[in-house]
Amino acid sequence: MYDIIFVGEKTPHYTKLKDKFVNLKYAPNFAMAQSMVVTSMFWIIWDDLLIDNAFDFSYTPEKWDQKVIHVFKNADKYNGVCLYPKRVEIHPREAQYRFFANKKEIDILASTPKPAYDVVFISYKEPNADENYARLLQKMPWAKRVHGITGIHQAHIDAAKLCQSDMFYVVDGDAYIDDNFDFQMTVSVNEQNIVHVWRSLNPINRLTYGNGGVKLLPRKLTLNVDTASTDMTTSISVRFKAMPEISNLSTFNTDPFNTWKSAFRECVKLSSKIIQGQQDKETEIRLSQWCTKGKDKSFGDYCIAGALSGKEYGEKYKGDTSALKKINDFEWLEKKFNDNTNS
Amino acid sequence: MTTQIVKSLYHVLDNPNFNKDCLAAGQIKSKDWLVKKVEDHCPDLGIVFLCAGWYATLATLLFESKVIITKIRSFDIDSSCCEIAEQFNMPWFADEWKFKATTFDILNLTYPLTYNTLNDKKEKITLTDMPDTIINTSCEHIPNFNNWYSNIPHNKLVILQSNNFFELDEHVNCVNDLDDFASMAPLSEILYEGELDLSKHGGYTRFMRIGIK
Repeated sequence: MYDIIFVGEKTPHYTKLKDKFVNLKYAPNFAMAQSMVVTSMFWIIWDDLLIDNAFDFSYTPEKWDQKVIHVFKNADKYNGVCLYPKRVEIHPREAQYRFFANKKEIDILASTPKPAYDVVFISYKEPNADENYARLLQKMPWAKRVHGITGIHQAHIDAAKLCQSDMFYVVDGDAYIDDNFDFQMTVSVNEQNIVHVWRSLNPINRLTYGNGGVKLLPRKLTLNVDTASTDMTTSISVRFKAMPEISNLSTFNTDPFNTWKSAFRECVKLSSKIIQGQQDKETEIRLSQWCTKGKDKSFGDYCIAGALSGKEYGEKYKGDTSALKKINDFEWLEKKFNDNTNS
Repeated sequence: MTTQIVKSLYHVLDNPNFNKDCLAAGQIKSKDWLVKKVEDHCPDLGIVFLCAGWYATLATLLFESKVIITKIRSFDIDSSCCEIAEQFNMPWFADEWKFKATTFDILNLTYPLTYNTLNDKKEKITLTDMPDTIINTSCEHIPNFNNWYSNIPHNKLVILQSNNFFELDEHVNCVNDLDDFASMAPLSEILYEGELDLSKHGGYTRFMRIGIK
């Protein structure tokens, strides 16, 4: 097998590939990569590629092709993994842009490109956050993380500060990303002030809507979000788009408090009708499901208790902004949980 | 409120392919029964694959019910069904294809499914969908049922109906009772199972299973 060299920044994807290919080498740039080669040809894996699990690096070109650069498919384009002859002479710009004067395009999928938008994982005290983040990194090695920031608004502002792209994806700490979800969607310029929210599957009552789903947020609007608002997502922008696909399983039922807290907060929002664009038919069905279904599931009784308590609180304090805002204060929620579950 | 099924009749009655049997009392009762049980047990269906959907009158009843639906994709191998199905579901078809019918053999379904469908100019459009719910109310018509059923991923919501009307030649997969149905279509979690006596509407019993595969 030929030498395989990872070129660019050492992302977690490099670590994962290193586990798979013990002889994987690393170089910060193409020239250094070429200087360390000992085989007659060599592979380059650029740091903005996600290698397809099925791709076979034992590929060997026919003898008469071994003096030509081979470029493999990167999603639907030929600009991904390359196989170079050891003594190839190319201009540094050719290497930089992966646009070669003399090349052979190979119709084998080797990789998918890094998505256009940053991805940030936001966790606080979710017991399964590390596990969920590790799963996300398998799919999205470039995903960043914001952890332990007090206040949901501040955590999102900090996430926006980490990003360079105009929009960024947010994954919650309890989100177990669906196998079929990818982060490849991009939006046109006139849609860049829209908050996009995918559906998540609730493991207790099987509701499937935006609560706990992956979000695509406009970076600048998130940086300027009104920290006094109750529902962070819908206060970033008045424009909101519910995406039809399911992005994740919302694994919030990890212990009594986290389960109760998630149900309480969501049912306060539903029953007080603070979410812009909320439809009565859907709200009623969702509230009813939260308050009645899933007792037999893990921590299902805490989910129902939190939902009933949240529904009562939301109905009582409908329109009372300062009372509703308390659902973003985790210390207050913990006290409320203790009062509710000890009574 | 007049159901869209009635409103659509003015249009579909002119279609020479239209089979009025879709409005038979047994058909409507069976679908109404399904809608009521879904409202009670699993009112959020998300993205639905309606398999062997025929004219998709079930989709109309679901859209008009208390059930939350993201979108419905109806598949039937009979190419004459699409136009009528879309007529019955016109408000949702017109709403960015919240409903869409496609001629497709459900034995070739994959999850997710990338498939070609026709727009109103009869141009081919490629769609990809991953369902949350799979409905099949014609299990008695499905040859190779095991192949179709085993293809459905685990943890999906499935809603199935079959019957014991063995007398019809096209009924290649009838069941005797609910136990028979359960062994044919096992579920990891049963949300509802029951039977509907249709002895006055053809002399048979319809069976239904709703649950998580």
